[in-house]
Amino acid sequence: MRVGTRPNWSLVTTIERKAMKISTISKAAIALGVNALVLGGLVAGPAMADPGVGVYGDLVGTGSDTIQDVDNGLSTALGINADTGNRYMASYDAAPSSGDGSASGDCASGSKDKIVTQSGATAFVRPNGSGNGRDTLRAAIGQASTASVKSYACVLSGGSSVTLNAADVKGLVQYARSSGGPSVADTTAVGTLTYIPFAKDAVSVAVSPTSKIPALTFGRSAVNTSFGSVTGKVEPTLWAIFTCKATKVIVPDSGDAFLANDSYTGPGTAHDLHVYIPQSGSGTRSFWIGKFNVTETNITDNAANASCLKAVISGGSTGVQEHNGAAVGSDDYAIMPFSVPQFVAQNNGVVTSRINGAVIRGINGVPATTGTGSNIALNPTFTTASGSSMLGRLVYHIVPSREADDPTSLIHEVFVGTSSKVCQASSTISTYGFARLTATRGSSACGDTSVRAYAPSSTTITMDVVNGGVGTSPSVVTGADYGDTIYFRVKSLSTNGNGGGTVQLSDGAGNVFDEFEIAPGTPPGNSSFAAGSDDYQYEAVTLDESLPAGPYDVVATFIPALPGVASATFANLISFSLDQRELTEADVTIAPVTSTFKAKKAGIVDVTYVGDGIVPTGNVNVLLAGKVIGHASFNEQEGVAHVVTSKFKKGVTNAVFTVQYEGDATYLEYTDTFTQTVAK
Amino acid sequence: MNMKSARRRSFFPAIMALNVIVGTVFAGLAATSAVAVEGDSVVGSPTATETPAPDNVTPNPEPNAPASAPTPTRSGIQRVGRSAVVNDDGSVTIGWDDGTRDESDPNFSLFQNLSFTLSKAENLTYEIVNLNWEGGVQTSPGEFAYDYMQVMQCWDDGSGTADPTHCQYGMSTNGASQTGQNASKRILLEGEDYIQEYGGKFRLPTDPANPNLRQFQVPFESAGGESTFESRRFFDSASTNEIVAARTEGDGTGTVPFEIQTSIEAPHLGCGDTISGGAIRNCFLVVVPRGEYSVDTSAYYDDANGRVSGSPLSASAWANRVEFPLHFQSVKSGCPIGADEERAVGNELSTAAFNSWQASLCAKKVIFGFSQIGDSEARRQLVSTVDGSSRFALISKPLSTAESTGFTIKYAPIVQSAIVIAYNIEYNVRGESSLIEQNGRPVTDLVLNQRLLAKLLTQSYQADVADGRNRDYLADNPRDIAHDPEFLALNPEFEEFQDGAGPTGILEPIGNSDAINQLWQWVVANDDAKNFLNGTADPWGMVVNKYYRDLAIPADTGIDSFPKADLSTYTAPDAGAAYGTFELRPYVADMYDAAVRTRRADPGTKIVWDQSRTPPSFVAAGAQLPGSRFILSVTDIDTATRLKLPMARLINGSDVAVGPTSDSITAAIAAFTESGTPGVLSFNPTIEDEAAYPLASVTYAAVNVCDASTTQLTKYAKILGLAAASGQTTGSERGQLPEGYVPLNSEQSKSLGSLVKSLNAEVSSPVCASHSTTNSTTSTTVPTETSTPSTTPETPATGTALSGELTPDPNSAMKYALLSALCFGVPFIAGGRALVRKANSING
Repeated sequence: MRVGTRPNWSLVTTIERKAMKISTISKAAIALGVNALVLGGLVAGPAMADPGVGVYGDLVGTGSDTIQDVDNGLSTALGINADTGNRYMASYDAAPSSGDGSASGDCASGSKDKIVTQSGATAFVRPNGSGNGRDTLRAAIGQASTASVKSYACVLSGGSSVTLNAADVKGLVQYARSSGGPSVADTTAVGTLTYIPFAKDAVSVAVSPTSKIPALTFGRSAVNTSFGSVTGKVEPTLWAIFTCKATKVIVPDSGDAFLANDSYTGPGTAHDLHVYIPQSGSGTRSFWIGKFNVTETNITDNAANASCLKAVISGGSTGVQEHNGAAVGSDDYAIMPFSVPQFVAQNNGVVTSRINGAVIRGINGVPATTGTGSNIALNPTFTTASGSSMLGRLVYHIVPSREADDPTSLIHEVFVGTSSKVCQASSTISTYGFARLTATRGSSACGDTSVRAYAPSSTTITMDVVNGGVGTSPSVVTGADYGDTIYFRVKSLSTNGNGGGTVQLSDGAGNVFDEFEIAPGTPPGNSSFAAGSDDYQYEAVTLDESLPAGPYDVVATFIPALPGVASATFANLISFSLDQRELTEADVTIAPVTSTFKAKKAGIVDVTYVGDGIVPTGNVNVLLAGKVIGHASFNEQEGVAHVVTSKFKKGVTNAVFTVQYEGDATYLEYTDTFTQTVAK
Repeated sequence: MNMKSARRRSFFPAIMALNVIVGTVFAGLAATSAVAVEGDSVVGSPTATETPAPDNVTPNPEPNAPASAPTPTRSGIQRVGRSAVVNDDGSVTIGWDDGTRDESDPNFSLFQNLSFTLSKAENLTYEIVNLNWEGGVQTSPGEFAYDYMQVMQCWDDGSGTADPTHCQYGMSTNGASQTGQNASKRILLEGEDYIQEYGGKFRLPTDPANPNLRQFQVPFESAGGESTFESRRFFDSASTNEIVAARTEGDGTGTVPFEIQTSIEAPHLGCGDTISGGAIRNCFLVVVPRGEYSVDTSAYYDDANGRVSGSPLSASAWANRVEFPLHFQSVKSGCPIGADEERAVGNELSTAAFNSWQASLCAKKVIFGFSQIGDSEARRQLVSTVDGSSRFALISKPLSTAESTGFTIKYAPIVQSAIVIAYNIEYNVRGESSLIEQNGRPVTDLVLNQRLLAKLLTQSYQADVADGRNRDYLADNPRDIAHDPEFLALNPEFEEFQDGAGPTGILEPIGNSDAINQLWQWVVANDDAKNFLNGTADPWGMVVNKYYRDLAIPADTGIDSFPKADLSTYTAPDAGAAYGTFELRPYVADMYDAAVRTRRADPGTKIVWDQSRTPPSFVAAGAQLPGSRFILSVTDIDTATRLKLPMARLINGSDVAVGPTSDSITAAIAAFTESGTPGVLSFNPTIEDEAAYPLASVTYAAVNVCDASTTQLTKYAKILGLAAASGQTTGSERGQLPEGYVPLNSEQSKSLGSLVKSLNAEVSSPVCASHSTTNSTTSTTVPTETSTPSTTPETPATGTALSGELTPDPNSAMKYALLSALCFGVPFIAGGRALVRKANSING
């Protein structure tokens, strides 16, 4: 690839530069951000819900409840990035810490319901749940133009979502926490988001400590509603409860309570069964209902197999928050799905408890946890036993695919592969109750990057080539000659988030000869401008000695800065040809090293290109009396052909040597002479 | 996402390394087998069915069987043929263990006893075939974690075996969420499969925005030679016939219907196209069994999701496939494109028959183009003075005296068919039921009466109205038909059912037709149903939806469409917009579309709001999940037969439940009454013959004799003559009568023959005052004045697309409701089938 003496605009460098930009997002990369609490290292009590006042992370994440706490732990464990002074990871909880008083008031205005993820950045609504975190990331990388996000207070109050625009959140989040993989419809190998697994979760059910709901097995789709030959008695299975076949709990005068439906007329006191699932957008919700072949359409339609599933606590309008036992803790007839690792971490005091009195149940006789008191752990048998193994799931960090694939990016260093910082922090993962991923390869290995979703969003760009700059009302040119200055003009650019990007101009054979940036913010073609001016962006290129000779069918490639936006290519913008050119004496210095010009020694001649243009390549011969006595090629980096001749036989005064450059695609042959005495 | 042209080279298969691997393993064995078989089998001999026949011999022991298509010559491997057996009934059986399988594959013992039978593999057109198997292992409960079958259709490049890049697979969303990672996709994970090649054609090209991209996928290469990683350019979740997961029962057997697609439905597969050398392109039906080990050889329980993972197109899974060669009828009609054609118009009941006849006729240079525009529009056009109007119509009812005064219209019966209620219902009984072993299997008997139809067609069940459970005017009504005591009395097995995904109302075709009018006539002829429609409660307290009561349907004897009059809407929590009847219970494009959707169990419901889309919109629910399918539709007998859909038995005038058979249809038509127009009988809604099917129908050919040119009359006579001859022989060949239709009886045939004579007589010695000299010919493009709805799936239609049919009739309030609803941009399902059918009509 030919390049001039201008900086090397190779693609690799460009992406490197982009990665650096993204990883050093925090503008205030000053030690200011580090406060005593964090410097204190290990946290005595539960890790904080947010990084802390004035503490920022290079990689900001939002989303799932289920893994917010382990991410807080990872954030602490990974510590400070010495290059920036920020933490490597900063995770913002799905819900603010208890006691923040954000439950009242309207959704987006509660102070803790907004987060500031960079020093000086505008606060935006705190995304709550896997879906919201993912959608915020999609908007932040320009894959989506907006995200419809609900905060915790909105969930509690039953309020509506806030729309975040891509332009408002770009650069403000770098990853998302997700308790589930992408939907089948969104999965694509060209997806801009990569779901990187880092731990294994298991979901069981939570009930009150005095719950009358009987012990449960997973069950099957065909629910027995004459269990034990009693009409209306329903088999005690998860299928029965979560497909609304069981509607009641019957408490007999003696003996164990059991599930029933409305056909039951036998003895015992009937209580309505309250079946809860988290609010929509929750990864746990979509995972859980999917296990029982319930779809969101069934729920919206109030279909018979879904009509009992409630996401709002009965008796009010408080939404059911993931892994928060409030819905069930004091209701003996209520049940909800609950992540076992979350329960473990909350119970052990590793994170602030939201258990609200609930207890977690095993399935099919296999307990969900081992241990007692505040020292429990996820029961490994729970995830492998046949009666409950289907309740296991991977949990993910969602990152932009471009960053995941770039081996030099910070995201790669932190998330990708079994040797990534996150995958190496296995004790932190266990502390928060999750099971480690022990596979060394494949889609279940920690740090695997094979699951991708959400194809890039489209880019629309219009460009042409004109003969003048801004405000000159130039006309389009279709050809050009050496010495001309032509202006590559961007007339419009439409991308989500207006993150700008880089336009590379190449000769049509893959060689980039120029590159320029389109700044983030209002793109060309969209701003207001003074009379006599225009709002296009012009890149002047003078066809001078810095360009290699040859034919040019210029191709422009727009590479967006935001990783969720598609690149775009313009072919045949303009065609021209630059002839081979001559080198002049001013371009080439011939410097014989005098001390080496001695009999029986080999002479050294440095032929140096000192021009302003492209460095010549190829062979330089040194001749004496018509014979080649030495040759060397131009060194591309230094522009020097360092010729070492064969040994001189004897001394000669004022010998005339010829320097002959053979030329290359850009330069014609060049010949010059120098006179030098060979000492005796 | 544009990529430099240089990079596209990676798309085209340079060296098919994969095929080389397969080839070398099996080449030696195939050579042996070829020698062995050649000496043994003889075509048509009594022992042919016992001797395994390779698939370049086409044994066909049926008498009168049409000559089978010439088989293209093949080089290479015949591995499939070694254990293929053709049975007496034409079905083909293949055992999985043909001696070539890799015994070290961890799934080997799970597949060893498998044997697959395909109901039909020859002379294929667009139809349903059944795939059965035995010797399998029971599928995981609930989801498809392990031990299940995947089925797909692939085109044959002549190499003798199926290539995964030629297979229509990877776009289904039905059941896909119940399978393991990538099991429903073409995506490959680098290094997971020891015998899969990565790189080369399997590697996705890098992008200027991500030069580090390393992702792998099996590209799709169309029969036309285009290769892509974006399969959706060729097929998507709505058009694909792939089966991501089919269940094996406890006894190791399983069955699944598979929708065979010709090059008309799937041009990218090109099955049935003529290829170089004059042969017809064959295709494959490929079954990939999935066992308990993923393509990376790990067990399903070691997978983080507890499921077998990996694409069936990945080499290890692909190596376990069983492939059935599929031989197609030629799709090429012999009808030259762009030639002048004669326009015929008519109703949907006659479409399939007419298409078969005219495809045969155009070989004789008489080319027709059929426009399915409905009876009333066809009647109007028959006597219209607008230039280009057809003078040849296929209609169920004759023109009225007013319409036909001053015209000479001649009629003759041309097809006998029926309107049917087709269904796709799977047993889904409670755990304690004695029918538990049936769960997942299709229900094959259903009984409906007039009042039940009335309830279904008037959104009187709660589930058929948005937020119906909270509407006061539906408060006394059952949730849906499966909870209706009237239904349960007629279908007692459903007492055992538990609640699943459906039922989803009844799929109703949009538009006007005599067929729909007949259905309403039958419904209101029953007092119970009539009273119900007028507001009387049924014995259990159910009342008609008040919006339909106000339409006073029984008094509207001319009603010939299905109104959707309850326009209540409901905004779900978190939704950005409200949904109503047209999202919850959308129309289908026509009866054909209704049947296809029934077969796929996809009613087209779209009520879940997705804020994250651009722009935010309702998203389709997709097809009902296997195990709880429950869908009903109004359709015609020939389409339901073609798609192997069971059809309901309807209560007739003698209170007997009768299904649509040749006998029951004949019995009904025998009791039709004089219409007042000579030669035309009227539908009789009150037939008392116990054996009669209540919705039998006769379609008549109607010719406007004097307003046609003599050239036209000659052409009409030709096609009517063909219809009377080969056109009344049941069969799937061109020119024959498709299955489901009942051939004319001798009296009707005579009548048709007389019409032919009389038209020819008119040409030779005209009785009419004059004949026009202009022909109503058009070139082979889609007629623009037809009321074909938008052909893009899921696209909201505009009012203009249906202007032909919806000229408001001031006397019909119901029509106003329909028209106004449509003018507000009513979305409805217009599957590609509608266009496909029209294409059929043009190109044969």
